[in-house]
Amino acid sequence: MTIVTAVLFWLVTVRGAEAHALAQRYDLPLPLGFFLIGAGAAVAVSFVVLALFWRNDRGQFDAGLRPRMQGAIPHFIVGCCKAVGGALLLLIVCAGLFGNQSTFKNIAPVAVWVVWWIGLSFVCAFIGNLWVLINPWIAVFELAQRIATPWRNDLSLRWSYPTWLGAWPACALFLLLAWFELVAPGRDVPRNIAIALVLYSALTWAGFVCFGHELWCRNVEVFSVVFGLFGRFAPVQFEANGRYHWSLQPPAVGLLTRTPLAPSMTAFTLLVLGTVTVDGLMETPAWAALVDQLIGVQPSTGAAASYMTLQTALLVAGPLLLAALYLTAVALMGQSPVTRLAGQFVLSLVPIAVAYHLAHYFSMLAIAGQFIIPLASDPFGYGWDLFGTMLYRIDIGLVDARFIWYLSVVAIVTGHIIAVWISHATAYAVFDADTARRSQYPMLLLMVGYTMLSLWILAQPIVEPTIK
Amino acid sequence: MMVSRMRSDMIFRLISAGWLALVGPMVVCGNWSPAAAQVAEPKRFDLRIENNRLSGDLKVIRVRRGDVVEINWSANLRTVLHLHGYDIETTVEPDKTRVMSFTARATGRFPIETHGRHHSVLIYLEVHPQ
Repeated sequence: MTIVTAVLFWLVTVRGAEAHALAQRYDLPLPLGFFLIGAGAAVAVSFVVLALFWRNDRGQFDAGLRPRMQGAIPHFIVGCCKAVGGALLLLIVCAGLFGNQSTFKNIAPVAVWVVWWIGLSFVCAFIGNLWVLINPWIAVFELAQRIATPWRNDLSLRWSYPTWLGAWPACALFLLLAWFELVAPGRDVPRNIAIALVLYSALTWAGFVCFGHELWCRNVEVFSVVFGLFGRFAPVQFEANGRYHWSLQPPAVGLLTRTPLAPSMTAFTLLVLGTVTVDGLMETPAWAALVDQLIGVQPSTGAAASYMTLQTALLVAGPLLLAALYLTAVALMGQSPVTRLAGQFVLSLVPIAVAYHLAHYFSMLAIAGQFIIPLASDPFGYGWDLFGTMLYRIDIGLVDARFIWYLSVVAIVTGHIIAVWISHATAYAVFDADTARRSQYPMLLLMVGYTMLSLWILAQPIVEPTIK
Repeated sequence: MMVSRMRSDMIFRLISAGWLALVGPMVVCGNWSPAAAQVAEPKRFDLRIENNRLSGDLKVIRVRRGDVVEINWSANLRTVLHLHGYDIETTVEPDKTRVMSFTARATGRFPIETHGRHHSVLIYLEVHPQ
């Protein structure tokens, strides 16, 4: 058999639930030169900033937070966004439940894991938190409210939400979501995705009815919380109080906060950052070697289960370790109370994670994301050709490895610069100048370490442990 | 205080501008690669599979973008092979050589797996940029 082609015949390969291709990435490891330049630049920049920047910049801090342009979003556009969001959720659930159950013949897996989870997180971080507008659960709830208005003025019972609970439910849900994404077997099976979405929808609407959707989305609805976190980094800010508004600000200044985050939101942020790193760690040879050590190379009946246990352990241990290191760095600032300071500085780590996320997932979005083109024509895998794109073939050569390497190093170093800047600006806003400068040594150490870890992961060849 | 703010602002802008000046051309050059791949001798690899495992020390097949690659497979058992990404599937019958041949047009690191009862990575194909 001779095939002289570089394009992927997407119709041929997938064998039902076995397929793990969605998780498959084809990135080449970052070459040593790129790694060293990135690492060197990150360290150098840290010292430059430490030596020269921000003697006293309270004025600048407040100026940065002021929006540059703003306006209301026309009702028509809001309506369209909500209609699209609601319709897509319905389509994905129906396709998952009733469509073809092969991963790449059904729109659900690619739409959820690639376009929604990765694609939308990029949109939220680099453009604006679009989720505010397209959240399908809010759209359906508002529609229900409109229909019910003649009988009931307010569909929500407006129970009071316990303050101590904060965003802890969102933390629990995020951990569950990350487990479903990274560990759960059958995460690429369309029906499983649809069932998970149905259950989550039921939970969300029940929450909306009990507490009202504003409260629920701030504390429990995990996608609102996580996209909101990424959205702070973005230049366009969307806001919904009564009417929907947009405003424009310089990128990343949304991470500067006057009021510290609540402990539960601090925990949520650390959880997201830790998970992003764990995701990459699970593909490194070091991890594969550790798994081999602990479970043994020979596949045996219990191996898959113990592998899942190991992954779950890493998923929990990663964020905990990050939290421990971060809290140590904050404690070393020598100021109290530590909880308050932890909430004050945690957002400064976000740019490093956003940069790593971009470097890690850009090529996957560009390659696996192409599957949405044929799937748009045939979402159920029934052989339809609605838009004439059913036979589109995926081009795995769309982005060159060299481009990804430059993108990775530029993104990581830029993310590091922004992180250091945010942390400095925050320190000078909350401490006096002397304390501020001293407070930044432990943070710098943590940030350099975090950036190095990101670069190191990108420089590792992707391997799968032998147990599958 | 005003002066220091202006100074730090200027330093920040200088660094940003320097960074862009350094990085912009790198990205542009990095993405540019000669369109015409020269026709050359194929890169040949002979690989032997014993009981669904690769014999020999080779862990990674390294080629350059544009190379013509020829992998000659032989096995002691019937083995189904799948090169991911390029998506080429081949079945190797016992003690008959099977050729997997293709042009490496896309860069990346692609696993070659045995499919069927044993589902594991045999070796990785790395296609590096020119």
